[in-house]
Amino acid sequence: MYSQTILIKNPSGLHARPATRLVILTKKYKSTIEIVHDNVVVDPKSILSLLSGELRPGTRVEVRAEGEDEELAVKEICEYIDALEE
Amino acid sequence: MVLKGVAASPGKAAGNILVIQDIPEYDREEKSTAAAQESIRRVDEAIDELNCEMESLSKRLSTAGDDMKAAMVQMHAAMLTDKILRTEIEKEINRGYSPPAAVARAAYRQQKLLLSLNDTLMKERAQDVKDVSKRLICRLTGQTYPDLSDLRGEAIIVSDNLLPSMLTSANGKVKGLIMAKGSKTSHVAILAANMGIPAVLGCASIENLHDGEFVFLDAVSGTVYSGLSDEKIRWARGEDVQYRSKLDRLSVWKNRKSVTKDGKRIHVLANIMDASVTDQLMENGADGVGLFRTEFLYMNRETMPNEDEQFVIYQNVAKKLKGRPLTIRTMDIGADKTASCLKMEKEENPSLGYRAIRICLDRPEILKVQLAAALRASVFGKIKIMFPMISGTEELDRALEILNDVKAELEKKEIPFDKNVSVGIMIEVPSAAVLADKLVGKADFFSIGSNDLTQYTLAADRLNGRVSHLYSHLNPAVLRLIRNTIDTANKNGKTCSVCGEMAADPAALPILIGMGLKNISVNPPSVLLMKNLIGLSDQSRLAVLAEQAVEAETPQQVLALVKDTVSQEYKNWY
Repeated sequence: MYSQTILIKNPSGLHARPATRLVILTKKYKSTIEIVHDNVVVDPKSILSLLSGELRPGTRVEVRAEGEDEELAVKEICEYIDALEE
Repeated sequence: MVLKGVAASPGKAAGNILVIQDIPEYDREEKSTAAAQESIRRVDEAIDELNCEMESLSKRLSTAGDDMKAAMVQMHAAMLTDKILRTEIEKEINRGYSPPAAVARAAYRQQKLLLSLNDTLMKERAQDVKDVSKRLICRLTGQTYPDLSDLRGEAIIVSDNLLPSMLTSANGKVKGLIMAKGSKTSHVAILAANMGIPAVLGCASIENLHDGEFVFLDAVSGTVYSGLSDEKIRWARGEDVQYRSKLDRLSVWKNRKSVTKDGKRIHVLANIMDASVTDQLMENGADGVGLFRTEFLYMNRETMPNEDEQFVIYQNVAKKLKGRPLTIRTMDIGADKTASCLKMEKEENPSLGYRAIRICLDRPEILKVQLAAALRASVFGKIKIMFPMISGTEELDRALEILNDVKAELEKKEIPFDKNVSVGIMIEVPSAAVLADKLVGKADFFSIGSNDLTQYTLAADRLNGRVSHLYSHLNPAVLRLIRNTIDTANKNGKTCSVCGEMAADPAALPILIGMGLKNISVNPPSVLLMKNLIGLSDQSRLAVLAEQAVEAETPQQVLALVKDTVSQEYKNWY
């Protein structure tokens, strides 16, 4: 298991466009991945899970992965979220 | 006939309508005797087919530079191939439902989930799920999905609830859009605005509009006119042309700085209520944000916005402004606004009561959080902090003390911020305008809130029908207070601006310019018009007007003076 915490900073949070790109990004990882905040667990490989996950700006989330590429997955996902601007 | 709705995408259009019928909801109770495995296979096949089409459409749109549409199609493709949706569809098929009913059931559940969230943006995504599911169902039943990509003549589309994907594939012949459902934040509205298609959504009684009839769509006021006489039709076509021509003439100001005829630079900034209009104001070449109303941060929520949440919002807007000022007004809420997180008690007289800075000085922890967030953001752009409803020097002194405490705390934690951040006050309580000379030494700038200043000075509630006739920012009493404020600021080398409705009033602008005001802050849609009017003004001539205006007795006399002074060309703009 590998995990890292990151702050969602971009103005609209993980809404339509960033969520779509995140799904495309995570689909290529073999590990099971979860994005967690408060009591909400989101599956970033599902856009519907992301959209209903209330990942708003100012939310600190934990990105967790379990599997052969867990470290790479977590690092790349966190980089992606950190770099979001719109 | 006149139909009213919401102006969701600005513009005007005159033309014939094309009515698009909604695809009815599929019967969610329909069962099938086919083998589950076969049904699942059919669904997977349809999903694959549709997904391929969406991918090629999105590629075509990207290549054509249509990024917004391409992104929407990609999102739809992600929803179509979503693993959770697929699992749900399979479950329904195993329970005996037919393939289209299974898709309808699964999609319906996901839509309900999104609609239950306390978030307008996410609620709109439910429409997208509906859109995708309807497409998939049509594919399974062999029904044709309405297509706007092949319109032969120009048409104004009328529909109960047009799905976003129909607009993305529409060719250039869509002149306007009228919908019974939807609002300004609907995906359709955003797409329409992006495509420059005027749209009136949430429109009443559209069943009265008939296919092929001529209508005039005024998506500035949110009105649809139908059943027009020949004369009126000519008028409508004229309005259409005139509107386009005005827009063209104003657009030259997007990249020009507003300067009077005699060379005086007057800055036009924008008032914003949330971060979303920042792009628009940058496009219109506004000189910055003269008022960032932060109330939305506190409204409609049970918990207070924390420092991180606020910091992120301020930082984002600051960055987008690329060095132009962002003036953050600290919380300005009273008992008349819904902010349940503040736990306000009912008051007899909220406008004269416990509000804004009064709450903040009484409960400094609220102010400290906001100031810390603003200071942290000051590293990313030019932040200015503004205190509302200051009525005298004591309040300002206390607020500045609290600010210094916050600065000290940030320094201790080694969190960077702009040590010379600009701090000013709203001049809206009359006592502050009268004692401007005592306040000017302690503030970096003044911003005149003309709405409240007028209200308090004339003791008249503009929303009270019985006394609203007394409310006028052209009242000489109000003008004298404003002149005093501007003079005091100018004499002491401090910046002064007007950020209320008066700043966007073409009848008041000449007086303000004449008084030596160098900054106005208006709503984003007014930026270009005000720049244009400034360019038609001669400050030294208007100085004479300003002196006459403060010697008038009534607002009507003031208005007459303005009309006599400004040129015909100026008057043509309003």
